[in-house]
Amino acid sequence: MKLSAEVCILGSGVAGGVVAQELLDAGIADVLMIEAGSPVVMRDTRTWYDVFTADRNPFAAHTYQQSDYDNRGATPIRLKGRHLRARGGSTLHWAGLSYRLKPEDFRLASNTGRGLDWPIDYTELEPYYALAESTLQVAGDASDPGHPPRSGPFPLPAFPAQEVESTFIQAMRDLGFSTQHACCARNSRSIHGMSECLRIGTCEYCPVGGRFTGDQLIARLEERRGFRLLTDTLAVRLRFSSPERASFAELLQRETGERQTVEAGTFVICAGGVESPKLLLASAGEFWPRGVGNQSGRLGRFLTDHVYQKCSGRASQPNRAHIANQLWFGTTASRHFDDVAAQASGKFLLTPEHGFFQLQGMMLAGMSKEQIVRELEQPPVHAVQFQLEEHASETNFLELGKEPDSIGLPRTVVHHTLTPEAEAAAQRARARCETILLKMGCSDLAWNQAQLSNHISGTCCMSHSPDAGVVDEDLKVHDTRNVHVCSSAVFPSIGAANPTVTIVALAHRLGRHLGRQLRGPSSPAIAIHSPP
Amino acid sequence: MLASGGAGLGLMGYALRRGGRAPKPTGVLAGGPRPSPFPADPGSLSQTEKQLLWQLAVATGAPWNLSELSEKEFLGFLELKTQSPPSYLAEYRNALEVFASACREQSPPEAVVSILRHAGRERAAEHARDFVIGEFIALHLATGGFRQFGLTRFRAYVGEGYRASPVQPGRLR
Repeated sequence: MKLSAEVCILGSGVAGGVVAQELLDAGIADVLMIEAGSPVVMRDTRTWYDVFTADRNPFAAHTYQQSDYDNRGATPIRLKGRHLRARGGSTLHWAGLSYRLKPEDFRLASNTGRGLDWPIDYTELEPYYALAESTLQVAGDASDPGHPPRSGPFPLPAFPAQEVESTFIQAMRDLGFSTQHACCARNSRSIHGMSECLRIGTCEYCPVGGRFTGDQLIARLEERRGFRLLTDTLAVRLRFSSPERASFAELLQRETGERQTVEAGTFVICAGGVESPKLLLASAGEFWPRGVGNQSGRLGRFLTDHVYQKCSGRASQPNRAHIANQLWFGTTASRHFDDVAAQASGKFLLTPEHGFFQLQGMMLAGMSKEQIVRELEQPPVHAVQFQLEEHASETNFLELGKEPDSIGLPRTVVHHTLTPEAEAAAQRARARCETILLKMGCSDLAWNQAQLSNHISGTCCMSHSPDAGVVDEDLKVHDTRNVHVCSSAVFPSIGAANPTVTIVALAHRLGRHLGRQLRGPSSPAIAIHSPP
Repeated sequence: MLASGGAGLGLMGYALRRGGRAPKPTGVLAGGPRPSPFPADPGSLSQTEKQLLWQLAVATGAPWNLSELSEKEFLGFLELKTQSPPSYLAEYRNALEVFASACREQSPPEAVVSILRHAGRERAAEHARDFVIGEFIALHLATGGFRQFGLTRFRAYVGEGYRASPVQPGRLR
């Protein structure tokens, strides 16, 4: 079957959804989106019951399998259970943490001599951050310390900090370290027909749509004329009629095995930090023997992630007020060590974490009510965790495996090893966490296993020139005319912040750029819509 | 490589790290793979079966004074659990047999505790504990039962207590 569209978007995650929305707003009424994964039933009561009564993971069938990727470096990435291949993408089960990068993050190499600079600066992206926060329905408090410069308030008011975090906040204050309300795409009031967050605590699968998930955006797009979505369809490779122009994409329908093609005037690859470079590598051919946009040899390289580790300790005082964690993510954060002064030695974001009461487990183990209440009153366990910036290194990269993965795309081979500088930075972050926990009155400190945060970026990095990266400042693959990439893959540096709000800001910027390019300068100027 | 430690805030580890008093986990709680429910096509329970399951649910809450679950909400739960896949019809019928057998020599709440304590010995009782009584406990807690344990400051509470295995750090970020 032969398909055609004016614009073909590969990937239905939040980046693809936002680009599509901008294109439709610009009057482009022929947008085709291709998604490798399937729809997931969201906000479904039976599914929700199964999540919290039967511990069933509704996303298990939509994530990577262990056999889909090989780790050949010393610090492995983990895609299984984290990255989703589904309608709406990985934000179906994200925490919603939405911290902007800071101005210094765009000038990492200039400031520190390490990593890479962005070809754009914070000032250029700031208006699009505001759009992104509106799209993601971010709740936050602009008056908190630690924010980069902002042109306006958050679209939704911040949630108050959970009571369980008060010890952390007080210890930070005593130590002279700043804290802020978490910036989170969680509904502090009803929005877009979705409920406010009810703080039920089944955050992995919210029964009421209490935070932004990518399917909500896709559902709104599907109501609009000119938008089509094909799920369960693999984008196998792009084919070029000249070095500059991709003419069609080869597709494979997963269920039927039917091969299809889609001709499009413009292709936008929104397939995340792993699959975006893989598609460009898999599209190697006559005009691009090493992969599309890979004249620099940097396609797939500079694979960068956050280092994440948590220290826990036992408080000294009994928990007579029966205070515990309610949510799967903190409502307080500190960007005190995520600033320009810390950039050279390694910036990190700090969040507290606290245990849940394991009521069901204790009941199933046969404990009486009195035993359980006594257990709840034991001194609680507190934790502090850091999310540390890793500076991009060309020696960390991904490549195509020779065998197909479980859905028929090439397997992913990852080479990632933390640099000695990152190891040293992690050591400094650990020392800070321990200081804070001791100030909180905790003892018996213990660290969990350090790991990467699955914020994979850098693999199609932005650069001014084709010699230095894969895409230009407008996210167009260097030396092509009609292939763009929009994902964390284009980040030259990752900062200490969770990447999604930056991805969405770039998607708004790209969508408006393409709208102007395809429909002329009459496309709307930046206007931030107040959420309904 | 980075330094590492073994301590997390996992299901039983949370309690164990605070003095080692938590009982040894068994069955699903041991963290092994959860078995599949007994196979059954979607279908409806009889009125009698629904009433007996409501009695089992009431008995399940009784040892901890959990009584905030309404019959209406419970019946809605049963309907969803039986009429769409995976259907729990066979699980519920199995649990009713296990419960009836346990009730021959003791009160219904005592029967529930007995099933919880001795379920590991046979498959039918193990399924009754893991797929029915354990899930009814979660339902009791989520519908307000958490307040019985002094968690009066919360509007709602499910937390992580329902998980067979600890939440992987970084899973939600």
